Amino acid sequence: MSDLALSKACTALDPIQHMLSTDVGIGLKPEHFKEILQFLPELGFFEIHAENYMVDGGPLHFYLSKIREHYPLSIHGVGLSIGAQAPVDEAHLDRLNLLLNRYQPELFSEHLAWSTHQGHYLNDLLPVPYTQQSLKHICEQVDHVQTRLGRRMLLENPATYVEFDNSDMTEEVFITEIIKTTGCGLLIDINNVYVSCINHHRDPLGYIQALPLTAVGEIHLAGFATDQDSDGSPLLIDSHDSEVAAPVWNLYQKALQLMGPRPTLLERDGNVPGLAVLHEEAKQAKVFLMIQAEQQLRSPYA
Amino acid sequence: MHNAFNESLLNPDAAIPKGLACWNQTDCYERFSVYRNNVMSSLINVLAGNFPVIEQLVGQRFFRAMAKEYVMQCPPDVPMMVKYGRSFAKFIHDFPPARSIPYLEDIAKLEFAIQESRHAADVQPIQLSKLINLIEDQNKLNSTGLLLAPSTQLLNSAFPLASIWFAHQPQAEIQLNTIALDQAENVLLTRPQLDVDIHRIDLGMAKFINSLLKGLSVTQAAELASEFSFEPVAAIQRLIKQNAIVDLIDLPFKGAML
Amino acid sequence: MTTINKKLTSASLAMAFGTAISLAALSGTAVAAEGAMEKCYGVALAGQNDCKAGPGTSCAGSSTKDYQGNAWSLVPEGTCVQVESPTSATGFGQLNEFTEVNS
Repeated sequence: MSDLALSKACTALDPIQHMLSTDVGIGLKPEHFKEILQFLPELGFFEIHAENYMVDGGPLHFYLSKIREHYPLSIHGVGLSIGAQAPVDEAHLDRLNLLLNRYQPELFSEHLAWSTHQGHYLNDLLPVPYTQQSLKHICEQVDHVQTRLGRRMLLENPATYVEFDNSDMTEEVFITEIIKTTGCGLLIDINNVYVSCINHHRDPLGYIQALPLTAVGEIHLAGFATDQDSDGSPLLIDSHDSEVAAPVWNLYQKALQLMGPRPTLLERDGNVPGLAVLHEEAKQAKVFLMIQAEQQLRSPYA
Repeated sequence: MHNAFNESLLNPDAAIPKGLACWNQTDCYERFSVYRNNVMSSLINVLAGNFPVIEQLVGQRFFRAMAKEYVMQCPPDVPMMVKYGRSFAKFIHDFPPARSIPYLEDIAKLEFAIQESRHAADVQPIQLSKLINLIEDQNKLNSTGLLLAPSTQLLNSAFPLASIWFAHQPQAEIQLNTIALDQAENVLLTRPQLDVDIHRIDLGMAKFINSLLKGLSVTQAAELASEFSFEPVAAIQRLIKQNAIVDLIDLPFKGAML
Repeated sequence: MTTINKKLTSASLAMAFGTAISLAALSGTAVAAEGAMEKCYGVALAGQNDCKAGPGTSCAGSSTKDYQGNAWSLVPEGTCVQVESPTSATGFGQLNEFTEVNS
């Protein structure tokens, strides 16, 4: 991990090894707490949704603390609403800060999206128009978040279903500019790339090639659902309720060839299967990561 | 843009926002519907997760329709979904189609209280030696209150709310059709360790705990409780065993009783 | 365990405390002796915040299906229909411990 803030966070935790670029993690689900502690499956890390743990005490913190003793951790926010009109909610930043200080995760990420408006929380990751104005606003927000939390954040590319008339740059350019301006990292969600590119009739690999891949600190993989728009064109939905689809595995391998191995998370939020099933899927990602790591060893100047 | 999204997302009958674009020049309606459905159905699912007994009582179809009305009227105001639904009980009370079930509001209160108790702050229970010191001088009981764990909650209802709740649990040993609806129940929630325990308690114990929660002295609480049938040994023992007593509170001296 | 009505004294209260403390100390840790009926058993502990798309979106044409019902024209039809039926006097099963509820 190249980032100074993250390295510092890691050294503060002696029993936990640093996260490796070939590590594969899965989303931590309460239904798996006991099984994880009993069998300590060979997984690189766990990822939690920050908002689920913004409670004072009880079983969630009990189990997370126990699991944290054995595994590296990624904290993934879903409610910060960086793309909202209003400035980021300071109370929510305080809650995030508390959680990050308590668990000292190796990774922290949030979304290029919005979910709050005039005191309402809409519980979905809503799209942002890509204009100079919104770029300036979002850069300020990311900057503020990183300053307040005293750490670098990873920004995740969204899955989107509509675009905006007034957008004057592509998502790739927009994200690249944010990374350049704020120094934040990139959480590249390969499923989101695929879903959005199919939905907007673009080339997924071209999208990935246009991003500053050296900034990638984590990869997400997930399953999607297939629907149709009013015209009968495919409309893919980022449903997280099934296994990773073949074209997404394919894109993942190509992305690894472009950027080298990166910590990879399997996301499953709906129809959550048993731990063993998720572990098997994680092993598949691990194989691809190891192949890539080996190739890099053979040709270090490639 | 944000305003238009906000309004369209929370009102399924509203027009979709202007200024949307799609590569194939369609009307974007189906595409925007994905967001609308994500918002509405995910929030309805959150309510179903936070109020599982309410959903069983009214049936899934009615629950989802009622929850939709609630989401439209009272969308969440914080991003922690475990906290969504604080006003659901009140909404149910004011919702005419649910009036045929008079106890529904109280069950909603109970379900939300269970959730709050489960996630309340962790505290160390009081050391027994501290309690023993307390009773060595009888007068101390007059000027000492008990700080109860934040997971402690008390509900009273004109209905047998805990019995109805129990009857909906997976290994329920109560048949719904055997519950007398006119039985009032007092319910105490505690969280001795990780799981919430639900106790039906008598009126005396309820009064005792309620008085302690209000910050009254042990003596005052017992005095008020003894206006009803009250077993102090059972009540105190229950609180100790449930890890519900956290500390003693020194109160201004109120004079000895009786 | 005696029920004390309107004649609770500091001395008897202190004594009640003493008895309760020794009983609690004897029975060991907190959760040991509570009746099963009081346990909040089997209540799923789920994380409520996801970043997935909601269910109902996953099959074609379903994007508005999930919240179409009009509550104003529906009647509750779940287990509540069982509650309304007349009650047998002995029907509380394992609840005998709590029959003093309405004292």
